[in-house]
Amino acid sequence: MENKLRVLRAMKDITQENLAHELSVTRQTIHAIEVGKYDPSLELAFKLARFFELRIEEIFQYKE
Amino acid sequence: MVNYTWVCMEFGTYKRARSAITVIIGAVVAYAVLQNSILIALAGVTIGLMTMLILRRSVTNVTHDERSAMIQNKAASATLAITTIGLAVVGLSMVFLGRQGIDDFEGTGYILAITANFVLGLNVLMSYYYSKRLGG
Repeated sequence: MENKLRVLRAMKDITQENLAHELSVTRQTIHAIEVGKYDPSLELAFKLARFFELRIEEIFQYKE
Repeated sequence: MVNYTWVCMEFGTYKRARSAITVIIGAVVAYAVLQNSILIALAGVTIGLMTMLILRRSVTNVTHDERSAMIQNKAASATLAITTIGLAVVGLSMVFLGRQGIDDFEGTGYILAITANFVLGLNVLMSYYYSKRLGG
C-alpha cells in the first residue's frame, strides 16, 4: 500500500509529533506509515482522512 | 478512575524516573537481604511498584497505540514459539540423557516437557476464548 501522508503533512505544515498527538497515536506510528512499513487500521485511516479532509483512497492507494 | 494529572510528565521523564525507582527498589531489597527482613523487601517493592504505576498514568504522551499493540502481539507469539520449542527440546534431551544413566536428568526433563505442553495447551485455550469473544 502506498500513501501520500508525508506530502499531505508537508502541505499542512504539521510535524509527525503534532499529527500523532491529534490522532492519539505515537510519532513512530506516523513515521512507520509514511515510510510504508505499517498499514494503519481502518479506524486510523478514517481518522487521517477526516484530519486532512480527504477520502481514504485519496491518501492510500492499494497496489496489487 | 483516579485522576493523576497533578503529576503530568513526558514519556522521557517517566523513563528516567522509572530507572531511578528500579535502582532504589534494588537497593532496598539488597538492604532487606542484609537485614534478613522480608517486610522491608515487600514494603520497598510494593511502594516502588505503586509509585511507578502512578507515574505511568501521569504520562501525557501517547505511548500505546495499534502499532505498539501489533508489535507486542508479534513479540509474544515469537516468545511463545521459542520458549515452548526450547523447553520441549531441552526437556526431551534431558529425558534421553537420564535414560542413558547421565545424572538425574529424567525427572527434570519430564517437568520441562510437560511445562511446554501445558503452555501450548493454555495458548490453544486462550486463542479459542478470544476467538469466541471477538466474534469467531
